[in-house]
Amino acid sequence: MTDLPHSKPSSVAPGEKEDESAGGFTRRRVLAGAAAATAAISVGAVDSPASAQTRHQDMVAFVLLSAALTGIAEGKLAPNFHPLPSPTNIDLEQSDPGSDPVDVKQEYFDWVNKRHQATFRRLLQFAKDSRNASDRAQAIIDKVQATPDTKYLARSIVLMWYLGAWYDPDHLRALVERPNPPPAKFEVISPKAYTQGWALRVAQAHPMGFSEMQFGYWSRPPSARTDFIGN
Amino acid sequence: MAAESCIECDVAIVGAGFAGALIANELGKARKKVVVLEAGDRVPPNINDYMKRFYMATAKVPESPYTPEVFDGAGNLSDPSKVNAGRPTVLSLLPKGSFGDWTDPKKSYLIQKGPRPFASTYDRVAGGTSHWLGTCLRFVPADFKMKTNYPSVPQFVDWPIGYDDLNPWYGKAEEELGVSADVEEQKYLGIQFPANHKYPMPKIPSSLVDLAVADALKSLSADETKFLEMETPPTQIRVRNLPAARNSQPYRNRRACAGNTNCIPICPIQAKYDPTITLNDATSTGFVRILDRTVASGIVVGENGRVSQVNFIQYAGPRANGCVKAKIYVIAANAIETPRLLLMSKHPDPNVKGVANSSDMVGRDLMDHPYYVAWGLTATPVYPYRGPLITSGIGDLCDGPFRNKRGAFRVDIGNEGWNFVIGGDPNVTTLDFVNGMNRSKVNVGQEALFGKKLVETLNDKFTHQFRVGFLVEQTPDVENRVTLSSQFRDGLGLPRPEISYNLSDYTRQGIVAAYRMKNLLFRKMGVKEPPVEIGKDEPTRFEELIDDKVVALSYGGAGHVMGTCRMGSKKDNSVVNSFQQSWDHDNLYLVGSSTFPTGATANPTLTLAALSLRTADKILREDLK
Repeated sequence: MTDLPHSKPSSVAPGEKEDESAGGFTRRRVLAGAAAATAAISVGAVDSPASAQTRHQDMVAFVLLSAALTGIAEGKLAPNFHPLPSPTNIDLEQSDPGSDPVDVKQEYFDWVNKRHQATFRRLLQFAKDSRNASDRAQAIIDKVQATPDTKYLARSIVLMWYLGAWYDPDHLRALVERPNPPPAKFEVISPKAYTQGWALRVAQAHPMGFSEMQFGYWSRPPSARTDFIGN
Repeated sequence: MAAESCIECDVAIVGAGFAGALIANELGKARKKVVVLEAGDRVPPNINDYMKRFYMATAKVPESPYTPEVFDGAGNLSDPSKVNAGRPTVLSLLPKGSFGDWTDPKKSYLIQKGPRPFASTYDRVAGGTSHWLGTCLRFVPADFKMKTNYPSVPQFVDWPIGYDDLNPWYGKAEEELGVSADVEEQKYLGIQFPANHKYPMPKIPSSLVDLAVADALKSLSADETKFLEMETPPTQIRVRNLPAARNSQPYRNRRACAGNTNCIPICPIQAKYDPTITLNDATSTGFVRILDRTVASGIVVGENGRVSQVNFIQYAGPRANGCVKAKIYVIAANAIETPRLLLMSKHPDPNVKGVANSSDMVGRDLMDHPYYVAWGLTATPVYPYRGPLITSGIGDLCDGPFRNKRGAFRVDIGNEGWNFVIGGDPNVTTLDFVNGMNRSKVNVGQEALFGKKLVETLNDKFTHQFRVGFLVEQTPDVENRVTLSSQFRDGLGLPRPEISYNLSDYTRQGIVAAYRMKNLLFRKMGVKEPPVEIGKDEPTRFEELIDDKVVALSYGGAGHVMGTCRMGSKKDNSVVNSFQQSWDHDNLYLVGSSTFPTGATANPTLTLAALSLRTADKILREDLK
């Protein structure tokens, strides 16, 4: 129902350096606005031969980032995710971002990358930099909260995982900073995203209209929260 | 229109919802040629498109899966003047001047004249209002004899039939819809069953929320419940599992409920009955033909006072006019669209406004069950968002001596937490705690959380969410009525329904009693209410003096659209007889909850289904023998 604003020039932090080696993606293109940002994806990192490695590492970082922000275990967000050689000594290249037939993480990665690439890259870098911190989740959370751009995009990402819906970071900022905030606006990302929402799994239940349980389960107490979200 | 171009059949039915589908199927099984005119889209080959529309909807309101589209391409509410077969939506019940201004005919299909909004909605699509919950309560015997039992309330009348007349038809309707319930548990307030009667399936198990309420009721004292003015001791106020047209085991090729917590707007596995099931049976007889996107535009009455044809407009392709001729005509639209069609139709006598309306009662006594809801957080987790939306309620409060003074109510216990009461959870509460807001009123510190703290907080809030609802009896009031708008039309150029609606003092006092019952229940359960204020501009808001304090209350719609073509025992003050046959036109039947003389507190579906089967039997036995 909403016509969301796409990347705005203001969402790129001053002094942020773009990855110019990644196939022609430049700051000028971001500043050119939404249409150019969309175009940039199609010629961006994902297409060049050298980028398969980057893409793999970015996805590992995205899973680490998402788990830290949402509080939901990596292996739940991304089934078959394997941090290698060990959970406390993660090598981005060796680690397996996981594969599952639903694979909503790829849809989410592409969704954010298309809309807020520059800020997204900063968030991924935080996850890469903090991957072996003693408290990885807290280290990532501390970093994303340092600037408004990263903080609000991080919140958008959490809401995406929880609700399968997109609340644009600029809109989230307006909701808390404007004196007379507008009604909350969002769009459902896809039917798949809706059915993969975590909010009601955190509540030891299931997205409304998508139960994987059997007749009568509601008359018994649910399994422990950790069974649902791994934490 | 030339008579020879009309489609011919034994019975023409307008409307492919609950009543129309059941009657079409009975007639089809008896090898009668039936044509059903359906204003909306056809029965889809599967429900995938409905599910997709539901998943993608930002506002998962009851109407969201179905057509026509609630929103236009620009994200505004579809302009009803451009829609061929329009319908109301709960999104157009919002304050004046807002996105869904209830008084704005560009947003609201119903032209709402007030003074209060009529808050219920319905669908116009093959299958009718499939966004029902599935509750299949019988009326209690007293519901049929309101004038006799409660003579001090001037609006009440008796039905021309009683519980005993409907008892066998209730049983047949329960078979057809596939009801899960326990006979012994359903024997209360005089409800009786034939010997050895069994529901088709065992009852749906209670949820943990139900059990928490049942526990709290155990300690009710006579003193605490004095305000209810019951004859019976408070120990008889108990939680009972609701009979539901929802499979508790595989039934008629449909699977058992998997607890998707989504009965409204749509069961994703069709474990809940909806009329597309009966429509498919009906067309399988080979005698029933459904014309979709075919809107009845006029009932034609011949010289002899009998209906001679029904005219329609088809809009599937280029707009085309047509007509159907039959021996018997059945109008099964609903309690708003049926009187609309009758009033749009021309009577040969210019002194009679519309068809079947010599009593001037068509459109009058529109009723609903004004729905009062309350919510809070329980002391210990009750684990909502699990199981069918509602599995139990308190029915024992729906009859008693208090009915001389105020409306009765039935309590339903929500298994869906705060989902609809705060405008769409889990989204609202999740957004609050992620983005440091407080629209749920439970994030007072406006914390913005990540990670483990977010998980722990949301788990705590969600698992304690509790919601209770009260369906309040509404008096039939002649000025609560459906008329035709002289100004506003739909996409086919037909006049839209204009609604005048208010709550009588008797009905408002029923809501006041519900409010007191809520306070008692919350105290017993240790439920803490968030500090919710009803906005001064809320159209359903009203104030009452309760225990020397002014309390703001509000109501919603139950989706139980009743009255407007009421049955009675006399031609001069009712529209149809007990067989739902028009007093004015022998071969015309008006079926559905529009014929209810009084509305009771049970949802109307099972009773309208029973009445429909009784009417089908009458048509076969007497009219088409």
